Amino acid sequence: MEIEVPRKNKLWALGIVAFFVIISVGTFAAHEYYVYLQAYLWFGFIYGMCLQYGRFCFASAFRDLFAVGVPRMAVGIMIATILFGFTSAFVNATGWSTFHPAPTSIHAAIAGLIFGVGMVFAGGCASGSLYKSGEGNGVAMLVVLSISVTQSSFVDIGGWFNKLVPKSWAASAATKGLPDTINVSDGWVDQYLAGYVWDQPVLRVAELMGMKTDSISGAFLGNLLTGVGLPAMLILLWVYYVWVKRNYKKKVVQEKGVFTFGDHFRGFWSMITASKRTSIAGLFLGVACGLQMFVIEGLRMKFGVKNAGTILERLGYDFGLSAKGTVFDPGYWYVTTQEAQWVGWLMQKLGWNNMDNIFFGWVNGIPNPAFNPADWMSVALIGGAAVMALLHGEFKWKAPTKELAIWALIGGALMGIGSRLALGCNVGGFFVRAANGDPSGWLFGIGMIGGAFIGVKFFNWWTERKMAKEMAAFDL
Amino acid sequence: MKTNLWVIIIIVVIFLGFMMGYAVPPFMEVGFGKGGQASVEEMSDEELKQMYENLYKEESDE
Repeated sequence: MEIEVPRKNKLWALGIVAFFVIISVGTFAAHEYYVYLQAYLWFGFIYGMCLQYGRFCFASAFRDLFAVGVPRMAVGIMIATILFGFTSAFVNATGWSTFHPAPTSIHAAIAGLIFGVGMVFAGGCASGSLYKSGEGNGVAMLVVLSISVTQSSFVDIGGWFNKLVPKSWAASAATKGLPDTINVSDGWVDQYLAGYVWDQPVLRVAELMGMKTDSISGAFLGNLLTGVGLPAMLILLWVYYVWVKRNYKKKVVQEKGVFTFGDHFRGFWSMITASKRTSIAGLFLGVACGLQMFVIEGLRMKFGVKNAGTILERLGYDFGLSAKGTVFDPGYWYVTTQEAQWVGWLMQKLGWNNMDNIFFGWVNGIPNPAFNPADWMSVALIGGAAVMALLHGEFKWKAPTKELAIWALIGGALMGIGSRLALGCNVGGFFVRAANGDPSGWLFGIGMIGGAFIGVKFFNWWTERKMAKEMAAFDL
Repeated sequence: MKTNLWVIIIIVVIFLGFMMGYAVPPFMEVGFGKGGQASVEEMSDEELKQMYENLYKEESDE
């Protein structure tokens, strides 16, 4: 049945698209280098449309699974990860992928755990909160703000927090040859990164198996089949065994009177196909993610650059470049780093010297958000989600209640901390890494699922306690 | 609703096509599945470092 959408919604949706078209055409007229930023913009727009269409949210996925036993979204996310794995394998096999694997160690699982608790508290993951902001959800906007401010502050904390740095980290960080402007001995995150994370192995499954990632066998057999398909299939089997099998078996036994081994396959398949909408969104997300890597690498070759910092410098915007002349330019989908950057830029304008830490000063910079490629992606993602929500009659301004606002701020803060410890969120830390055969992505994912479980259990306890109090007051 | 969505999808595809037009030729020049250099050479890390050192030098000279 066709949904009747108000004319006002259609005009707003077309207005948003027109705004991005004008930005693209106008900036291209100013200089062709802006094509690089436009690539981020239009892929961000596609991500927003896909996320909103598929209601693609990691927090909802695991909350639904653990709280009410509904596996649909969690299954859809795993399917999407496999589909993205396919497109990544193609790009990796060409040898032109922009993907960088992350250091692998237990830190990824711990960070995932903190992130997982946070996303359940907040009611949305990092990407979910962005697309829900595009639907006019005030709670999601608060979550995005909280993630941004927490990250920006967390990466620069020093002083008393330096006392919490293990001596081995401080000693190792001091040997990394960072310039004096970074002041690596002051800052918990700086010493965590340079003294611990950078010392961990950076590998992909293909390389663990003795294959090259940029070969067909390495990309497809190593990374895709073993590094993506196998762990995703194990998670799907776990979901089927724990949440789906029992009800499905009951249904089949009622209908046929017997449950055969083949029924397990049919049950498993029905679980996969039940999450059609999320899987379709996942398919388009996967294709778009792979295509973005391809386009960005092509543009880098075209313009003769390794990082957008060089493009910004050529365009005359050299404020906020890192000490290496770089800015955050992942070449693929990322969410949280650019959120830290815009607050970092604002804080710097207000007088906070935050360019003496590794995160801003050495790696990502704090370019003006108006010229930050990754910020173009996030703004367009919100726009893409808003367009889809408007055209499906799902856009509505929703102000947060006081209680939801508090949870949003706490959850956002935990997600911000988890993101910085893992060097990425549910997208950059899990989805992209896992789909590219990076073991650290799966470690983050395991931690995130564990964190979501703890978050759900805590919420159940909290709600029951609150209800008991209210009932007691009612009795009085 | 469907017409509007299709209009938007077509606009997105046009921009994607435009960007692909920029991105594909360097790949065709270099080839797939092997390393190589595009017609515009990437600067080495050392060259980039030198460039930025000079950039700040020029600024401080002014």
